[in-house]
Amino acid sequence: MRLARLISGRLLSMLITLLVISLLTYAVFYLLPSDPAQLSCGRPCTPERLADARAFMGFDRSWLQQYLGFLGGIVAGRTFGSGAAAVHCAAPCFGYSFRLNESVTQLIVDRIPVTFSIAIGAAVLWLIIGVGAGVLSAVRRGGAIDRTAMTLSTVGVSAPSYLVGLLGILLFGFTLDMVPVTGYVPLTENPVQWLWHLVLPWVVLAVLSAAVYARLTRGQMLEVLSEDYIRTARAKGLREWRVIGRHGLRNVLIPVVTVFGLDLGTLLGGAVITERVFSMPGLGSLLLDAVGNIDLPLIVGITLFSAFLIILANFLVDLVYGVLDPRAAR
Amino acid sequence: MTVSHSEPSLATATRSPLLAVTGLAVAFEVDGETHQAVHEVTFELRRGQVLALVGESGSGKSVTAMAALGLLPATARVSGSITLAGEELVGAEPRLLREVRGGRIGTIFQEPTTALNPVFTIGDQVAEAIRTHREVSRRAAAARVRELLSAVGLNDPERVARAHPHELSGGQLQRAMIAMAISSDPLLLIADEPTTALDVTVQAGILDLLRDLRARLDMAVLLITHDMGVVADLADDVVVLREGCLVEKAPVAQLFADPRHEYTRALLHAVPQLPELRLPGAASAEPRQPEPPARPPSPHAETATIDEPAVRVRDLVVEYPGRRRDRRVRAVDGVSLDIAQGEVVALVGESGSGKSTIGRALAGLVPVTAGTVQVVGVDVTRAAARALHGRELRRLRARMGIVFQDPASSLNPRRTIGASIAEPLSLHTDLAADAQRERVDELLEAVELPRRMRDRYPYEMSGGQRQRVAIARAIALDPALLIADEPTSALDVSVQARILELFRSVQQRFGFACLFISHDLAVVDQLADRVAVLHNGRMVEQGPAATVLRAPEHPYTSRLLASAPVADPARQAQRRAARQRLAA
Amino acid sequence: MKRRGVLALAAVLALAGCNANPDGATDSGGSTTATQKGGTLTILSAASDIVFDPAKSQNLAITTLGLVLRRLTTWDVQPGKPAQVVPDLATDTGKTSDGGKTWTFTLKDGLKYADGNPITTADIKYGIERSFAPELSGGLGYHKSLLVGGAEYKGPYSGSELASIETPDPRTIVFHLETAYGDWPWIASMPAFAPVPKAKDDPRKYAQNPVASGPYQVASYQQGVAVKLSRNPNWDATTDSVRSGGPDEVVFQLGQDETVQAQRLIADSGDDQSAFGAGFVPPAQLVQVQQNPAAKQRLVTSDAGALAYLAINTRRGPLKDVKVRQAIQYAVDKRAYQVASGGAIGGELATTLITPGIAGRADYNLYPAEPSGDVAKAKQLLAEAGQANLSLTLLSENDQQSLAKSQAIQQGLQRAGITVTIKPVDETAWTAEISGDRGDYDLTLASWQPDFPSANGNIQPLFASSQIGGGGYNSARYSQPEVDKLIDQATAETDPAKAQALWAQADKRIMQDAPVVPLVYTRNSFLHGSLVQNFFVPSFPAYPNYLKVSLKQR
Repeated sequence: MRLARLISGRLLSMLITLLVISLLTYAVFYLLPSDPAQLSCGRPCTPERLADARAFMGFDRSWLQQYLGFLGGIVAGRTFGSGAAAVHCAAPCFGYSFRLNESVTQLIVDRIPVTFSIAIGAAVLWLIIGVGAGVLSAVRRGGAIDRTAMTLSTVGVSAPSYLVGLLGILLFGFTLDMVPVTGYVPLTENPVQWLWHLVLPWVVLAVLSAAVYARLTRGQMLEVLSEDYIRTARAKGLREWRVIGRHGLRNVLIPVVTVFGLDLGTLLGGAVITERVFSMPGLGSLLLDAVGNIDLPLIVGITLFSAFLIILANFLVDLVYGVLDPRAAR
Repeated sequence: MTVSHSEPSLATATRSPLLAVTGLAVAFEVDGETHQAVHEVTFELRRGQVLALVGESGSGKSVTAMAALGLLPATARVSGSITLAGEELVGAEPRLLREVRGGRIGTIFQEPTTALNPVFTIGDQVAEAIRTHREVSRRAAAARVRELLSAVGLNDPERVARAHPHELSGGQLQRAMIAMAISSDPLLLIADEPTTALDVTVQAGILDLLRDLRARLDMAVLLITHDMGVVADLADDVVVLREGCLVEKAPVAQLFADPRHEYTRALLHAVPQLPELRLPGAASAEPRQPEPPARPPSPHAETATIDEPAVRVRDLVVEYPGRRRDRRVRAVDGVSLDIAQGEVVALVGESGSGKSTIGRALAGLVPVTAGTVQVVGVDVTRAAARALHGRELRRLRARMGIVFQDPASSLNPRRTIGASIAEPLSLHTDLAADAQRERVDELLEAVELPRRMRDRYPYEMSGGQRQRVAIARAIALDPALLIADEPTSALDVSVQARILELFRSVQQRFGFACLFISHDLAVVDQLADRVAVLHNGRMVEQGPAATVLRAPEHPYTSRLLASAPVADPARQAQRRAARQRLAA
Repeated sequence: MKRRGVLALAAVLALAGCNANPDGATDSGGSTTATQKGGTLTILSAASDIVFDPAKSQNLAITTLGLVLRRLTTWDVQPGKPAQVVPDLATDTGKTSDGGKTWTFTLKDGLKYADGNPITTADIKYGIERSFAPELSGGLGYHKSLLVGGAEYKGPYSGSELASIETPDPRTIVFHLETAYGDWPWIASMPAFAPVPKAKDDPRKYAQNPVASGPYQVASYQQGVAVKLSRNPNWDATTDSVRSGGPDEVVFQLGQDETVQAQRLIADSGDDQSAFGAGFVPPAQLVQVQQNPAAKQRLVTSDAGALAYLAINTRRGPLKDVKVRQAIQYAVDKRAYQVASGGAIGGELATTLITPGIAGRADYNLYPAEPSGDVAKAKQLLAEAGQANLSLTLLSENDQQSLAKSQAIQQGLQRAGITVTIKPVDETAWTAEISGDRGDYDLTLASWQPDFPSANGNIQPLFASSQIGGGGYNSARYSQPEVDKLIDQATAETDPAKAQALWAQADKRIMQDAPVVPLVYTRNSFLHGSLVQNFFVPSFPAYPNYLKVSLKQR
């Protein structure tokens, strides 16, 4: 009952946040000097043709009217143009990309499997590597593992992902010829190939992010290991691995989960650079493409979806937080 | 193997000591330097006995206990011998040490709120201890947890077992810690400052419990404490440590009656004494003690009464937003209090009584919900409300000095002592640089610190010295009111005694009014003209110190007084009996 | 209608989606050999989608769209020769009876779509009509303002036809133009002049599933992933002089990062041996290729390409004085600019406005000087103009390469005592500024390549006074009635030789006024796999001719 009330309260605030974000996104792109209709006007573009294109795309109205039209589309769908060439965008319609001749909703849905495959796999990997390395470093503080892991993580934190991705492709794809270099195979089509194509992107993303998690985990673990309850656990006669694995890790995970949730939420909205390097048709490359072509409806749609994912991640983190840390639960 | 060791024959148990520490030395190596923490300490502890390791901070008492558990950090070098029922623990195999920890030796620590893992339930943590040492089913362990929790006097074991640490009080947590410590029927219980973090009434209960468990389980208890009252209450034998060296070793009665070593005498002398207690129905319970020398009343106290009081609090209510938005927590509930000019009024109470909140309300640091607070005629409530303009509040603060409990955190670590003391001078006065310097020297002299200290930094000083600096800073502007919030509770007793001495002399010299907030009744007795007792945000009793502390009217005050252990085994035994009658 | 009769035949490279300036040259142009049939050709593309709808496409006649769709006319592009207009579906390149206002084309015999239906002139008419629909805007629309009634026409979906296109019989089509237009045969090679059968037209889906008339048809289309083309069984090679139809299959891999593309082609392993990159080779990989003899053999660089130039805003203060503009011609350090563009491989020094590979181009140099300029001459001209201590702003795009180029200009002008302040802005802001009405800048760097091989496209969009502001690309804001008249005359001329002479005249006349400084003719470099044959890049258009590419059979 209390949980239900908590969730419904959060949903409302999520909705309001999304409304504000969509409004801001609309306003920002409306204020940009570029005219989305200009691009679909063709060459040469006469003012009359431009006006026609604007009217068809709905860009001739004030941005507030456009925004209201956008909101209406989510609820009831929209129709652009008229007659035989009219396009209908069914509810929930988050806009229509005139460039790609497809509803934004459909475009996003099509790209979700790719981005989610990349993001979730990489996240699991980096969590394991990062937390593992962090714990080992903290437990063997000052030792060889600690020094190696922390040196590597300094490199990892500061390395540009595009470069690391490219190096990964050159080394594992070309020189060693171990994995395919680009492309995405749907899980439903061929699970083995799906995995095989994703290995390299996962590793590249994971190695970079794991560096941050290793540092975070190490710092937290060192702090936790100096807590009184760790001394209590040892005084109980617990084995060291149990002291660290149960009493230490559980407390370390509380801040790690917070960061992890937001990182994953952000990544689910599109792993822009990774998708680009590995030619994966995910949300990130869709966004990159939309920005490059000033595809306003698509930009707004993806921005909103990303924001939604981050807000959702935040919410889930709060729920998990309540489970991990009983002090946070009411 | 475990079983055979945990059941030594009665014959051997009585003949040979359970725990024998022989020639124990512990050294720490830090940055290539060796620091000797314990020197050649030797003592024995028999079954069913309580041995107190007494000493001030840095005496090596906790290090000695941790050495027995093999829980010293890797930088420690241990030599000598510690045997438990004849088995050597120094340099023992990790396997044996794990068996000993929690199995044959149970341990409880000072701060129960941090000693338990916040993310697991009490039941979980106690059950974990059981299942570490015995192969029992989850269900059996859970049943045993309930049993243990009720054995340590927790009257709703079911709820406590399901609770997380943050849902319980300090006393409940310490009882749960004890339940965990005794879960495997240990031969020895190490109690490291088990009641230091607790209120006196709670402390009394825990001490009763430990005494009871020793008798019931025939355990030996290694009690580590700095509190002579606790020693007097619980110990059979006492070992006094100082800077890692064993100073004196004696049965408890002998030690208190006839301390041999000079240090022991000094230590006992430094303990503030509670006056003889005349409790209703127990009037002659205690043998007569010589009355403490009557304090001369503060010189300013009488003259001040004609003038306006330094502090006038009327019907003060302070509320905090609670965890849930609709519930506000009432920290102070309708308190009225006057402090005459030059008068020292002590605010006494346990944690959560609202005593610190009143201090903060006086300083304008917390918003007042209702009532009025006047300090030297200025309405703090109104001034604080206009804090944004703040001129009135600033002027008011210039007439007020504050000393907090922990001097380490109230001094800026990056400023010299001289700069810290001069800070209020440059904030509130137009004194020139050399005049400020002169004043700082004067203040250092007043708090009995050498002038050369002015260029030192806080980390270069001891806790007592830092508290002197804090006092110097608080009185720099010659305040009309000094608020001292537990100014000595973080200090060792010998240091405390000297700080209290200083406090008294400074107060007499400068003649400020003082609100002295403390939980320690003996300290209050040494200093205060009047005492106000708080309980759950309400004032239960106030009056002259001599009256309130010797012949309290309110039962809560009586209970409070009776709970405070005194550093005299015979008197303490009687007080304990009196308190138990009071509770019954 | 303000811009009536105006043809903007040029594209800002940035707007056309070409993202990098080309660099490097070794094996100029590429080579040809006998076509072998068979195999699967892979084309690596950075784009996420391919628009096959002729109304929306801006494709060159020799690239992707040309593999699937034929038009009335098309381009014959050969290594080392200027591009020529040749018949495609039509029997000739069009006949005019009245000096260029009315044009008549006749279809070849027996032409069929992939589905076996015959191709008719009614379908061509319909294809052109639908390009007027606002729903399908975005393509090359040069015909829209030339055809009578085109300005008001809103496409066939509202039920009306465009009367100025007549189809007296299924093989004949007649166009009525508002004014005489000599380059109409070129216009008939535009994507919109491909046939679209009305019965198969779904404006939403046509871009992914067009009815094929060329050697290939779309077999599968995965947005953002890949497009596969398979043979069109009804394509008759004997009717087609420009398409060789070599590979059995063509696969476009979409969304491929340019750097990764280049690395794959350098590695040349597996299927990549039968692949080529649609994008320019990035500068870093160009260097890498120079050091790799095997890869170097597979690098193809155009002799020339777009014109990179410095535009001088002729409406601003001292820049109104032709002497000052001429001084800038001498003061600019073209050598330094070339170095900033990647050296001699990045482009050849330019002196004319019409680019190499365009028929009728005349080479000349009105401001002869060393490649690094003639500072003394510049100072002398400035002194004559009475301008000392000139201070100018240079509007630049804010990417690294553009800034490096801007700095080369800045340092060159500094030698003549002209202080240049660089004002970096992002790409969209730059476009808005140079094509907007305000024109708040003194100098800017730009580059151009015509959409089809006529000098018209080099001159008219950049220098006709009608192209100042309002979305036009006359960034020098140059207005010269004499030049406007020459442009009108050349546009109307139907005799190619005469028209070419007029354009060459206009080129020189404009440079007398010195509104821009031609800097270099940029060169584009492409990589292909070791099994790819007949891969060449002409001077115009400086892109590979997809229609001729074939695979070596093992």
